[in-house]
Amino acid sequence: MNGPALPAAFGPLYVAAACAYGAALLAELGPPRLRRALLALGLALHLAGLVLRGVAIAYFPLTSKFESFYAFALFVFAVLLVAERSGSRVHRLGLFVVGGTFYALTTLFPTALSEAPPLMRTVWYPLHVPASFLSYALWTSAAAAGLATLLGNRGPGPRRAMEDHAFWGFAIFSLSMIFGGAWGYVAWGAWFLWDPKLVWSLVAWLFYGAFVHLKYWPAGNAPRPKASLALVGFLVVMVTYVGTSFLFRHSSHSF
Amino acid sequence: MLPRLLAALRSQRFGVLAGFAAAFFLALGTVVMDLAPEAYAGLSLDDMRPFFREPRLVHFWFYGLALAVALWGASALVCTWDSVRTRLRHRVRRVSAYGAPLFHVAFVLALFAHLHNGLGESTAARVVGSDWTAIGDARYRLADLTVTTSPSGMPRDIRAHLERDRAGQVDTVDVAYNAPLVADVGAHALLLGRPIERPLAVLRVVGERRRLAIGDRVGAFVLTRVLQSRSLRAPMAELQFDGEPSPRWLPLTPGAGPSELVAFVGIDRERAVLLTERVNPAAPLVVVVALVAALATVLVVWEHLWRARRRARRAAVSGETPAPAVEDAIALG
Repeated sequence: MNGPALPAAFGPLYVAAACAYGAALLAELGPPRLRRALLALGLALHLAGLVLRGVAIAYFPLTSKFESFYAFALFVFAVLLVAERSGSRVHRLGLFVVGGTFYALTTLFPTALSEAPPLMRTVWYPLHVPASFLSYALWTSAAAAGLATLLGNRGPGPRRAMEDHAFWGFAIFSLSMIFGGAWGYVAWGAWFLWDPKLVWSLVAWLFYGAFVHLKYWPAGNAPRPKASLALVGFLVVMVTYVGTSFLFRHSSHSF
Repeated sequence: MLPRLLAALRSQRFGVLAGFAAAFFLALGTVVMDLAPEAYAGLSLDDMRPFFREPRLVHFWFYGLALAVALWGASALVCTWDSVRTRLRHRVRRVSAYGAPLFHVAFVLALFAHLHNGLGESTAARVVGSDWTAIGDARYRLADLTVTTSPSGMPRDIRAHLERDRAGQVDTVDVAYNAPLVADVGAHALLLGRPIERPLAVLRVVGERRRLAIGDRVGAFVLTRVLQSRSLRAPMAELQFDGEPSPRWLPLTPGAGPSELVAFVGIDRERAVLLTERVNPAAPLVVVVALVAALATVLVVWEHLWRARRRARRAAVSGETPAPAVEDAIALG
């Protein structure tokens, strides 16, 4: 059983996007407008690569670990473009390191296309997974903004970004949980399973549910404790996203 | 005592700490479950009964989680009641201002739904072939099975077409991956497991040829097993007769004459589907929770955008940006 052939244009798009991102990193030393333009170019090439894969398999292209990391990097770079407004270099570089790392990690996995099995063929899949990835990317941004706060950037930009991105991540993840629950019901007859991936998704949701309420507790809302918790949140996100596939023995999710 | 408890539940610090504690206990639980899988062998899907049926020290994280979540839920309810009263007192008419309280209500209902389902759910495997099989209040039999594949051979869709007999009313229904047969607002669901080839025992019963699947009854006996292996010279069928303490083994007797009451004359195979019968007693409540939570999320987002717009307007007028917490306190009213 051979999968569809990988489109020839994918390789050049993959390399070109990497080059554009690299140039955007170097442009940290130059004018912001150039940096943003290069980042947007990288995103466009990155997205084109993902769309190309989707067209080749005639389905939503999130069927392998390669595509998972490739798509997550796309979401991180997209959030980075929005995070430009926070005005903090540490915030930007934090996001860049995470996005760049996941982009680089795709080289560890086969680029071959794989078709979606019947259980993935549901409307809930393209609703649930991208919403989760966007939330992870937003929470990564909140952590990067937290790091900027801890490293002495006390301006309103990173702090506002930490709060806003944690909130947006929580709101989008809440919808993702609803979509995921609906998928779980139609696929397994249960909206929740004692499965590491699902339990950690709930851990992340509970964690950020508590985090977004910190603003009502003055002691918890102080910049340093809140920024430290944003970094803890990043660990939670990483365990939820990749840790459950690599650290735990029994999971129904392959990524 | 009660006023002190209410004051504690009302404090935001309490709710936040309970939330982080719940996340902590749940995270700890995944580690414990991974390190001691034998303690969780009977745990499947969203079942919670093993935690209560056999209380064990290894489940400490679950009991901690249950306590933290219960306190968080109580705190959310008390705080929600307070904030709704405050908004009503200040005559806040913006619908989006009630998004967060609505979300909290959905959260508490979700906790109840998890508990209700975790204590009442059930799962049963069913095999449906060419003969009628009773499942719930209906009988089903496999009319056809269609498998659609992609050019590479990967199955795209597997669909079982079933005939359903409900009190003499026969209709046709389909069960496929991600397309279960649902009844009672989701409380009962029949899901496609996988297509199978099932063995049938061919028996001659009082001269009449019958094909029986395991579990099928004829008169006073039930077919309980069919043994077929390389170590056996010939297959055997096991029958359990009513009123008899142990089953009877029938050897293969292909030439059984019509004088014998019951004889095992061969093995046949037929296409069948393995189905999963799920009972989710909390499903109707979960549907309500999902709808309320989705609506509340949209309202909360709308409120967030409204506050951001107002903040930008104020910043434009005053020339400075207020701290986030101060801004939210103002909006709370």
